[in-house]
Amino acid sequence: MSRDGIDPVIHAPARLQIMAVMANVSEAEFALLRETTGVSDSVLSKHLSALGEAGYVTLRKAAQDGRQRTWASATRAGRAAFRRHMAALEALVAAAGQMAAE
Amino acid sequence: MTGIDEARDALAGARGAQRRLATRTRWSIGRHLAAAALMAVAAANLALPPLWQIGTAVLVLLGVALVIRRDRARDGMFVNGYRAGRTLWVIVPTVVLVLAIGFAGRYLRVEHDMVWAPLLAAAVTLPVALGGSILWEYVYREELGA
Repeated sequence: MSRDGIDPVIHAPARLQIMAVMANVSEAEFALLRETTGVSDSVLSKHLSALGEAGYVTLRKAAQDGRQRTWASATRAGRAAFRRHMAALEALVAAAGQMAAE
Repeated sequence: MTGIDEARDALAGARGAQRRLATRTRWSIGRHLAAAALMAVAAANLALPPLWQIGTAVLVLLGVALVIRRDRARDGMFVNGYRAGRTLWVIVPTVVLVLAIGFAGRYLRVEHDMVWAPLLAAAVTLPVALGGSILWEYVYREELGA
């Protein structure tokens, strides 16, 4: 994690969007994440792997209706990193707005 | 990252994803009723004699497992009702109220020999929990920017 709450792991827009969804559900299926973030299967897989390696999400496979599906859930560390990252972004934008107003 | 525009875009992207999640998150009245019915059985459980409590506790656990399974299959996700956020302001008072109703039922059964008190507790809990469940969904969707 870098200074001021900005997290390089979730810095990429698609990863931030994935975390924005993951932080608000207990568990989400791959298709739901693809639908809400609007990224392709391969891009989503890549980002989920990176988030998994950072310890921000856990992934599991489960059979449903005869098909293997991937489920993801945000870890405690992942949720905390997302909150910090969003707070840092909001602070940055608020500070810029304040400077512009003065 | 230092660019203000980049920060704005990132925030907009994250909020957009949350709004899309909110848009597709709608639980049916049947789903709300199922959650409320489980709470009603839980309230009745508190008022029932010990032997009955085992059976109703198993029923509630089984029901919760079925609801989670149904959510995963139908919605592609599961949201814990006790998640952190503004929804806690709905779930905590709802649970406190349900517990109070359950214990009031227990008091009526034990102290006043009202054998049907558990049934009364369940009947009172059902609309309370149904309202709580619907309000919970509203607050959740609002929080996500719907």
